[in-house]
Amino acid sequence: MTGKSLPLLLALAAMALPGAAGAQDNPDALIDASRQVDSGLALANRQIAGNDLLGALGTLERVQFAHPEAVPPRLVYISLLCRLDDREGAEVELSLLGGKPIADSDWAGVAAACGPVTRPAPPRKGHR
Amino acid sequence: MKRWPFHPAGRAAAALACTSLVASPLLAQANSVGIEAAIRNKVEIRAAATKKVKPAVLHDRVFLGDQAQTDKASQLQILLLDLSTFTVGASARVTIDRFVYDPATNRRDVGISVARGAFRFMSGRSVGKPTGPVSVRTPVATIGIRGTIFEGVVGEEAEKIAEREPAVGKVKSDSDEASLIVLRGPGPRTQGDTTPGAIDVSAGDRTATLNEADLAAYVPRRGAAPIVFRLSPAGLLALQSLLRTVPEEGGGGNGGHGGRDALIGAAGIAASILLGGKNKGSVQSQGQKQPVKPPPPPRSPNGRP
Repeated sequence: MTGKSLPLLLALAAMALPGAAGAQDNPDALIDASRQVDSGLALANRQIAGNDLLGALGTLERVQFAHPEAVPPRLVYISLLCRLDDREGAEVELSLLGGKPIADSDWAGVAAACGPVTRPAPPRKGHR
Repeated sequence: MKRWPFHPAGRAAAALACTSLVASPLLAQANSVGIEAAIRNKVEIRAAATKKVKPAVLHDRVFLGDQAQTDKASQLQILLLDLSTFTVGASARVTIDRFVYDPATNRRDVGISVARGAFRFMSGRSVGKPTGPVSVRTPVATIGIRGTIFEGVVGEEAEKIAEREPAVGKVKSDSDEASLIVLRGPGPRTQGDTTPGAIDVSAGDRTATLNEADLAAYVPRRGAAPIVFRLSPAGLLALQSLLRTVPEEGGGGNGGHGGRDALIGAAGIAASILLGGKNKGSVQSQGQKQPVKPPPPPRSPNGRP
């Protein structure tokens, strides 16, 4: 285990502990969990499940600062904008994805939250 | 560099903030008001206590009066102790000059000054969220917040974005101080336990209430009244170019400078897929409410492929 991963593991462990009420209120734990895509998405999903939609938006913004290339956090971000009734903002965010491949399972979340919305075209063969 | 007078109530509030924060169980270090939660490219903090400037570091505490300064294509997210987030966009200079938060009562009183550049504020937890006034000051406007997400930009970029909007057009603007403020939500049909957001933008002798996502207020110069309109997709993208990253930038948090071009290039795409919206808002002047009729947003058919 590296020294770098220890704080993240401790933060995740703290949030996963039964009865760790308020662990999601610990700013340092929130920051550590947002440093990686998977843990950031897991945190955002917990926040969404707890109806903390704005907290989830903040988490995903942190994830995107560190991993701007990652598509799944952007899709969850877009679905959150729809749930927060910022449809125009969601469409603008969607346009930024360009030709990035989108997994059907990820897109399902956007469609469920946003309703009818144009899915960005997949990249053509021979193009990145 | 222009200097602002410290708000008359600021010193008393600052003292209160210190008292409140020292007593806070959330606080590891007295006087801190937030944490440097995400950093992109070049961000520096000018410490209020020492006047020294140092690079922002993840997890470092932000103290009352510290000034965050970002370079081009750079951003900083500050996680405030009430779990609100304040994002400092590109080429910005921001100071948190008032912060009182009592976790026991969940009451807060927050004041933030933006001298230049882009910013975004998102209220804390939607469940059990803190209550109390939050205000953001720009050189020409004061924004009062009621549980919400909003963005803004001060200076030349505000002027550029606003003057491309048909509802604004060419107006006499101060390129150092012009301020553009946009409500991003939550909208009236928001889900979960969130409540619709609203902000009051006060400038000159008027207050404009923005109560729907993507309604904007532009204050071109000191003393001017806010011009209320619905921000176009192109305008929204231009603002996002100062606040957001794009997938093409690559990973690792070091980013590049191609993001802005990608964002601007996407404006046309966004405009072509946007659904229609509705326009509501009001401007209050000396106790009288005036209806505002922003121009209709672009419409186009939209559906699944």
